[in-house]
Amino acid sequence: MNGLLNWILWFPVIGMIAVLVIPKGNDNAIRWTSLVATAITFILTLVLYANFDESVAGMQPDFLVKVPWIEQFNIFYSLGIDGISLPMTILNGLLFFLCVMSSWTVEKNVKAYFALLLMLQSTVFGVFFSLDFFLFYVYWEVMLLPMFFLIGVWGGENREYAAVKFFLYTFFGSIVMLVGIIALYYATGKGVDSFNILAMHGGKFSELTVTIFGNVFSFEKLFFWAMFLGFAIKVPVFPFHTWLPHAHVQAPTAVSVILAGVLLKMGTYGFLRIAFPIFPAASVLYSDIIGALGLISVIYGALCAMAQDDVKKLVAYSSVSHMGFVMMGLAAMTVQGMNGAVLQMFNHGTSTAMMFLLIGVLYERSHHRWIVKPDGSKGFGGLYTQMPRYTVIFIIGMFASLGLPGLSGFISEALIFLGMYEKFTTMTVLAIIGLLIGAAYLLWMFKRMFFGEVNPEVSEYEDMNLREVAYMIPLCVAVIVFGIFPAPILNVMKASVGQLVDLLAKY
Amino acid sequence: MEYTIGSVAPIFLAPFTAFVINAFVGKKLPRQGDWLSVLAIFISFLFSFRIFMDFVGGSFATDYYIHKVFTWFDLSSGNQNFKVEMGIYIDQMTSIMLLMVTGVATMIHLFSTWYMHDDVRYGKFFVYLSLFTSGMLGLVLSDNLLSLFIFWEIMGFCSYSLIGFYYEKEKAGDASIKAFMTTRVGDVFLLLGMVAIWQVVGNVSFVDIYAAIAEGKFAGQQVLGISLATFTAFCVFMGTIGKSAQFPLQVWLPDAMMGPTPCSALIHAATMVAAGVYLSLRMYPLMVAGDLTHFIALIGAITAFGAATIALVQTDLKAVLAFSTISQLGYMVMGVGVGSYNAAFMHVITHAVFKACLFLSAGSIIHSVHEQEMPKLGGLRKKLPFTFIAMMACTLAIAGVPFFAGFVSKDRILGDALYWGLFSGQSKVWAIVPILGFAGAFLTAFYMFRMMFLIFFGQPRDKHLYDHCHQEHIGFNSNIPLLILTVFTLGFWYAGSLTGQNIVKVFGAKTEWFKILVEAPKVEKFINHPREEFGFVDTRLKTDLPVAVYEHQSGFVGVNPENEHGLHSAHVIGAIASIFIALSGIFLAYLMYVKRSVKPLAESFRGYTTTLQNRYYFDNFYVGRVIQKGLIPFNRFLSWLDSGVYDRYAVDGWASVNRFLFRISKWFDDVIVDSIGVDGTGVAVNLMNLILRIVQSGKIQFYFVVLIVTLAGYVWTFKF
Repeated sequence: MNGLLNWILWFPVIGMIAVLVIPKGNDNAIRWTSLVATAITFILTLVLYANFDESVAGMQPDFLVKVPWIEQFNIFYSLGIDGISLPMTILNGLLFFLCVMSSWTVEKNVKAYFALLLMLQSTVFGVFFSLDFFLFYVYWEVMLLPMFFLIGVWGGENREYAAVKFFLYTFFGSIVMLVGIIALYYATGKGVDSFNILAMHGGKFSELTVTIFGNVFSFEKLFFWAMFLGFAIKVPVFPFHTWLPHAHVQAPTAVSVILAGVLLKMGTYGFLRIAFPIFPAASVLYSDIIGALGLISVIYGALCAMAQDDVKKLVAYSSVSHMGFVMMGLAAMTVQGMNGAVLQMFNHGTSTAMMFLLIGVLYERSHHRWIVKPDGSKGFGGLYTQMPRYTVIFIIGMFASLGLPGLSGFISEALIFLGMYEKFTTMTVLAIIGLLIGAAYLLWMFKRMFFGEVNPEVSEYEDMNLREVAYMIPLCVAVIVFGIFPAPILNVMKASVGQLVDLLAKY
Repeated sequence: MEYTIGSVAPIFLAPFTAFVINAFVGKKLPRQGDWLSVLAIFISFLFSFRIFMDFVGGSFATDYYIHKVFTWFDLSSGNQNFKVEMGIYIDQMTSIMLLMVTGVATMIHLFSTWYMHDDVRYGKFFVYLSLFTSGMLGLVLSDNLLSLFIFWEIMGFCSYSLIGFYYEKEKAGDASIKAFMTTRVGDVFLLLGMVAIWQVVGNVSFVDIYAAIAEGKFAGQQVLGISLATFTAFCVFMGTIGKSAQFPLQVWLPDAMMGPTPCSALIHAATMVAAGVYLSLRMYPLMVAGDLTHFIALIGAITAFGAATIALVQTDLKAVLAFSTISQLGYMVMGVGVGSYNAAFMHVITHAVFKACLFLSAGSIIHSVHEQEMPKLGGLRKKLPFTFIAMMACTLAIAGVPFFAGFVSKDRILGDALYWGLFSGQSKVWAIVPILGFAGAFLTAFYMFRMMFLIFFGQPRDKHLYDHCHQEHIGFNSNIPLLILTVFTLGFWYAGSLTGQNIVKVFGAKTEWFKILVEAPKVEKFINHPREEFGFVDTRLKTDLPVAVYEHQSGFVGVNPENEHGLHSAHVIGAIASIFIALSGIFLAYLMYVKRSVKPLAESFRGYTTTLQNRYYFDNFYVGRVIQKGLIPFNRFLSWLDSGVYDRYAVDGWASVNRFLFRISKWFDDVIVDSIGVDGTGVAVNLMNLILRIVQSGKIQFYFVVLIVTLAGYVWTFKF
């Protein structure tokens, strides 16, 4: 099992090379190659799940990989997996597989599109596997390239602006994070573990100070904020969220799915893997601020979502709102809140992927996404009658997204609420407003699009075809099954999350 | 009887299985799988009946319950402990509730096979119906607030879907969203209350909550400046307000009548809306501990009276029934508030039976005449004799005529309220509760008979409609369900004895099984209660603790056994008053709508009628003011602020500033430092500069070259 992580990480690259080798024009061959590559990768992540030892709290010893890479700087190619990264890995494997299926209709420069998509998958795996700061940073940055091109080339009418904005905004965050990484490199004494993420865990920097222009700062507090900025932009937490609606609206369907489904989770994953365990004292100290920003994201995102006339923008703002719940769960730093947050990362991945895929399906028929057109007329209307199959799946996705009990979103939200209550009673009370509005904007959107007489325009739409149904089914199954039996996911994560909670409880 | 998982689980699993099968392959089954749903609910009924007989026909023990748990998930690891258990809890109240739900639901399923027969989405209707009944049964069997909440919301979903069942109509969409969102207001409070309780008790199982109350864990703590017990009780009661359509969240229920009539009968009359009251009863010790009973009584009284006044002016047959449901739910809630635990629960049961029957009768009329505006009907008793009999019996029951079920339960609530308001020694201000209650009872009798007279008596007002109505024949799935329900609108079922041994005493009416069996939980007996994993052994508990100890401890002023005499006299006065009131209400309706010797209300109080027709302007206020004039413009403003101001000026503006700096640095670079290199301008700015130049080159081939070269170099340096 030793090389499994290597296989998962590099198989998409093998797929990419295969795609690049295929001569131009063989579009179907390219599509099938990508599909097979992502399918095998997904199966490999399931193999990983099957061989996962739930009782181990730290990195799984069977899967550790560590080889020297740039020895002069003690940089290692070091990979590992634990209960926090495993759900993200499976999610990443699943979503790319489904995205390739949903991208079947992409006709523009097929070869480059699939090559970039596969490259993106590899880099995302890299972020979740890296145990070396340098490697982590490399993947974190390289990931921006395929995203930039996927949005900038295959996106909507305003794609270049969105792509540049996405790139620069997140790049700005990572630069600040890089400063933190370099600071940590010096703080550890440039020794053998100076890029080793795991070795830095446990609050080793709480005594250190730094002097800037004669002022003495606590090292931990200062660089906690450096890390915070890098991750908070990625999540994104209010007030760093404005790149998200642009990126989502302009991105092609598959890229929106990936962006909301896994890329946003890299931000919260950063908190779990890096900011919290390396700077536990500062994290506990500033947890109020993290929680408050999460709360603002929840309510602000929901309120903004309600005002949107573009359905994709609406779902984009709903992502801000839902990721706010994750931040609140993280800030709670209790066993319920943290587990709820990691579960919410997974559940938001599946439910929001459903929403974006469904909007993509609709867009292919309508070529617009207006709930209400700018001239005030109805964009859709009567979809329920016209596309019954689509509607059933839409209802499942929508209710999973608004947290209906019995579907996956509820359990994670309830856990987050349970975890928050003791520490942030007032915030918990306010957060129920988010739950309320969270239902309102989705149902209102649903009503405006699906109820009523069939619009003349809508009457030409065909219901979902077999391929479209095929890539929705795994997600439907996931939101229903994990809504009823959350234990399979919670069991893999609870040891790792518990370890982090134990660490934070000491401060 | 030995309780195993196999003797309880089918109650929930049978309809759930029917739901799953019908949802997937229902269309391929003969008759679209309706028989499967009917069969499933009947199986549930049989299992429920078995449990009911064990509890009621057995020992008459009031402190006998079954509680079994299993672990849903467990997050314990390291020093952290947290696990979530699910389980079943069956006591006397559960057993009666199960029988009522399955019994009424069976009749409604049967009726639906007739009523929905021509509907294009016949199969889909049964899919929802099965999901709903499994949700309701799951709720009744729940041993904790969490699973109760889960089923509570699943029912809310079914309600939403069935209200929007005719989705071609724009109005159905509005009504469904209104129903879901209004109840959701209560639901989020319930969730909050549950979270707070979890924090105090350590879990949310009912028995543990009772034990915690008895141990005083809720005492002395504060949340947001109010006592913890009051806070949690209020949050939980908000759930009741939403689900049971109490003031001020009553607005959704009348609109819910957009759904098919059998679903109105099941969901919006008999079961789901009553689940709100059921929750209050289950959490009754918390309501007492939180001193919320006065508030509850007041909400109930306002709802009971207010909804009855609105019902006076409704012309739509189903709207009258909808407001009457709100009003009756108000009586139940009032019963909870005044400490009339037993009668409030009895009213849940009796109301479910007669209101379901009333709705099915309404369905029968609508199906026969294709019209639900009462002014167009009239004289239908000759055409629809069986429906007439059923509806008449139910109307007598709801109006509170003696010997009918509604009288038995409502009279007890009113009697207790009278005692509570006037004789219990508390401030006389609270007399408002029984006054509103009795006034509401008068109006109930009046508007129900107004409805009866308008539909069945006099001359047909629309000859065309009348002639097209077919003569009613007896049919196993059309009016037999109505007549079966009619039998149970008689009072002796509830007031007399119904046990195996004492069946003779049924007509003696001495032994009041309902009164003996159902009483507020004595929280003390739950301290250190035994806890069993799902096995095959019962947890039967019997203790000899004195009745209602906690009521004295918390200074509760409800029905209290010390003042037996006062209670008795209040009941006698109450009974006489309510009989008089019911009869005078009926008589007034007779004078107005049959004899026509008194002018109808609409003509005498024109101004007030408008207010009533607008339902006291609540809908206008919520939808028109709060949402359309408040929330939506605010959201639009916020969204404009977000993208039009913050994003455009703060974020993009910052980028422009940087671009300006890059230009300066580029100029500086080119002109001044040129040969020295990039080191002088600082790492960050240069990286930005570099990126910007790449971005601006616009040559995709170049990007790929960079990409591949980077990647290749990267792979090359790399050692496996």
